[in-house]
Order: sequence, then structure tokens, then C-alpha cells
Amino acid sequence: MAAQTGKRYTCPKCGSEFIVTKGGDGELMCGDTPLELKK
Amino acid sequence: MNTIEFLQISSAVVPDREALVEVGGNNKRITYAEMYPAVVKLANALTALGVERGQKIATMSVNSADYVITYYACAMLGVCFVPLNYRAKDEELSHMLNVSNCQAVLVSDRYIEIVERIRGTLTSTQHFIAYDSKHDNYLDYDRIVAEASDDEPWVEIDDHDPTILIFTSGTTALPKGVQLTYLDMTVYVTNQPPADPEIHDKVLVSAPFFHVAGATAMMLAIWSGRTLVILPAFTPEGWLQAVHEERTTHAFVVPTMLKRIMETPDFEKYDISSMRQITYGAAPMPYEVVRRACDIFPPRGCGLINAYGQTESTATLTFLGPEDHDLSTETAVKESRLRSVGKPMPDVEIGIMDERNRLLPPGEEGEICVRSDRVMKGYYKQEDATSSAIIDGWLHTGDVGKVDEGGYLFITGRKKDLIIRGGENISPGEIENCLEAHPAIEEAAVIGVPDQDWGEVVKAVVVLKPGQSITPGEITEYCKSRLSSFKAPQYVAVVNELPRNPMGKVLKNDLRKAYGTATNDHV
Repeated sequence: MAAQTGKRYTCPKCGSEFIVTKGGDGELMCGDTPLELKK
Repeated sequence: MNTIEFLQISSAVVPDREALVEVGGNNKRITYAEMYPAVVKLANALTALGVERGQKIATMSVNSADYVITYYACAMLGVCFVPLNYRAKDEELSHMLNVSNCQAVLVSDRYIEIVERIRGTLTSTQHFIAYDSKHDNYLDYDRIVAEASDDEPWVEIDDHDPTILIFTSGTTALPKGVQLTYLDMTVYVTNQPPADPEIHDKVLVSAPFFHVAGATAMMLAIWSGRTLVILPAFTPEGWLQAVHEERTTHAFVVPTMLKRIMETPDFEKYDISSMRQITYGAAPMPYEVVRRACDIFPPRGCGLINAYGQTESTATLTFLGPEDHDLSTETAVKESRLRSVGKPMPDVEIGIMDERNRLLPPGEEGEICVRSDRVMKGYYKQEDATSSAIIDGWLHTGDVGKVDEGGYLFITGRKKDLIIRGGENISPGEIENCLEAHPAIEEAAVIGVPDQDWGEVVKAVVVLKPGQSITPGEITEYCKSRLSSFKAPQYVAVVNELPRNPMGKVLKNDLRKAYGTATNDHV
């Protein structure tokens, strides 16, 4: 999952929310939990 | 979260978008990619002057792009920003600068003369910086910025540090400094989504940045990656022209501004189809004005929001949303709710309390109190005033109101403006609403005046519509037919205009001084 600048992600485990300020390849993780794209 | 991160995020996410646009003045246009380095350079310029975390810097200027850049440079350094009310009296300005120990003050051309008048009274201000032209005894803003380093400074801040000190206008005493923290601002802005490359809103700000409404507009615009269109001095034509030319989508206005906008003779000449939301607040909205606005704006796709709050609560506490202003359905109930200030924001808890600080049930009138992470840190160097305002975690707003069964908050007056007639509490708001519904009355304010029998009785101060006349007796009878008879004004003053502060709030203390006698007056 490529992370695009400006997209927001949430951690389904802890509820933290993330915003991508510089896009790139690779999967985004919170600890060992993959982040989910916030719709 | 340091508020500088609002800018860091937006400048990363929407670098090519215009961040700051000045209209009606210098017409500067600055993108997010340009704004961030400008902030870095000013922060370094201030550091070179010896300014450091925990100190304070003031501005004395009309709204401008440099004003916003100055705030974010202060945030970058952990320096508390002190935006001065340029309409304050000399004595008040000296007080604000001295009590807050401001190290530096940045001044626009228009206010150099005032700052020079008070310079000799200042005890801590070492650096005077001129934003515009060159002046003797002033550092030149452009020059110190040009000579500053490009290196990005990094200063650790505590979320509970004050980031801005806003002095509230004192009507009976010197202004009190309200300390709002990085956390207050963070909680405020995160009610809205952050910058998004696919959403480009443009917000028109005409409220001064020294007022909490202007300051929070500046915070929210940068957090949300909006273009902040800055109108330094409000005129209805200038506002409409800015909407027309810049295609703005959002705006904040005070009630008097909205009224003047709608009364502009060439209103239809301007294209306002880009507007999606107008928020109004900072002073009570006359019902007739908002009712007219409901016929003008929502049918054109522009929602209306009434935002109620105060400096001490980092602006908005409750809001009446666009759906409440859309009168195409449930017209009667919505019309009655237009007199309310809506429901609490998600992070705000409202309580109505009696004089012994006990919570009252819905429908009962009392002081509006609030709990939220957005409540101020306190009044600067005024512990007694702070402990009177914040009791057991509740901020006491000083406003009186009630919540209806639907959860809508109605404000009926200020606690200090309550009229006590023979032991009966009377809120001026209800009487003012009644008076302003009279076809001959343009606007009205109600005060208490001394009375030998009742202690206090009601006096109305009214401005008539052009060409209208009415006798005090007719006003009394009109109110008696619509209100409990003890609430009807016993005395009336007919005046040309009501004294108001810059945001349009009626200055009741001035009214009491001028018309506080048990007489009928005609000015």
C-alpha cells in the first residue's frame, strides 16, 4: 500500500490517527498493526 | 502539539496552494511552500535579538500576512504571542505591554505614532520592529528577516504553555490577559479535518486577529490547509468584492457586518456563488437580521452557522448549524431556534448553574458554565480573577441562559446586566427581542435604573427606523401585550445609535452612564 501525501490513516487497535506529510512506498504500521486508510 | 505543526503539515501536504492572500491593501500572495521559510527566517531573526522560549512578543497592526507569519514564528520558538487591540487607549496599551513583559513589539505604519506616545512608559519592551516603512528607532522587518538564517530552529514546548495572550476589553477595569495554550488551540482546530490535497477551501477573515474570533480563524485556516484571504479593514463592498474576486468558500462575520453586507445597494452585482458557509458570532445576533439572512444565503447554497463562545473558552462553545438555518422544512420550530446559539461542540459540556453553583435542569435559567479542554489556562497574573471564573473545573461565562428540551442553548443576558425588580430577576435579552420585533424599532438595549419602590426598574434604549416615531407609552403598552407586565420598560430613551465595541457588542456600561436615570429621554 503506497502512502499518498495528505491521506489519513487510523490504527484499528489503538485508535491513533496519522496524516502522511511525505508519500512513499511500503506499508504503514502502528507497532505490529497495519494502519487502515481513513475514508 | 505545537501549533507550528499545523503549518508544517499543511506546507508538506499542500505546498503549492496559496496560504495567505491580502486583499484591499498590499495584495501579497504567499503559498504554503513560501510561508514556512518566511516563518523560519523571522523566528531566527527574533532569536538573534535574544528572544527565547517563554518570553512574549506583541503586535500592533491591522490584519496582514506578516501578522500571521509573526504568530507562527513565535510558536516555532515557544514564545507567547500578544496581539494588541489597536483601538485600546494609551493607558491600556502600556498596561498590556508591561504586565506581559513583552520583549518586542512589531508595529504597522498606522500605529507607529501611538506606540511612540507610550514608549516612555514601557518597562520591558526592548525591541521595536516596523512592519512597513523605515522609521527612526525601529528595526526594519524586511531587513532583519532578509539577514536571518534559513536553518530550521527546534524548540520543545509543553502543551500547557500559553501560545497566545489575548486581552479582553475591560469596561470597568484594565484589560485582563486570557492565556490560551497550545493544547487549547489543538483541541479547537482538530474539530475540523487537516489539510487535504483534494479539498481547497478559502476563508475570508475580516475579524481582527487580536480578537479570539480572528485568532482562531488564523489557526484553523492553516491547520486545514485553507487559503486565508485577509481583508484588513471591513467594508461591506470590500467584503463582497473579496468573495467575488477570490471565490472564497467560508467567512466569519459579526452580526453588524452581516447586516451591512445584506443592505449593500449593489449586493446582487457581486457573485457570491462560491460561498458555502458563513459563520457569525462575537455579539448577539438580532433575530430580524438572521431571519433575513436565512432567506438570502441558504437558498444560494451558503449555509449559516451561529457560533457562541468567548475568549476564555478558545472561541466556539456551541453552534447553530446550517440545517437549523434552512427554513424550507420545519419552519416554525426552526424560526424559534434562530433565537438560540445551538448545541455544544463535541468537546464541550454545558451546564446551567444557580447562584450557589448547583446544576439546574433543562428549561431553568441560570449562569452558562462550561467544561472542556479548551478552557483557558487562566488570566495572566490574576489568580483571584481566575479562581472566580473557573470553579471546580467549570468556567463561569458570566452569560445567563437556559437549555430547551431539544438541547438548544438560549442566551438571555449577562449576569452583571440582570435587572432585579422587587426581587424578580429580569433578563434584558427577552425584552430586547420583543422591542426589536416592533416595526418602528431598528435596535434596542435594556438596562436597569434605580427606583425607590422596586429597587430597579426596566428602561429601554431604542434606535428608531428612519422616519418612524413612537412614544414611551406606546412602547410600554406594546411590551405589556407580549411579555409579563413587570418586564415592560417603565422608561424609554430614544437615541441615534447604541454604543458598541469593535465586534458590535452593545456597551451596557456606557448606556448606564448616559441613560441610567429614571426618566424618558430623547437624544
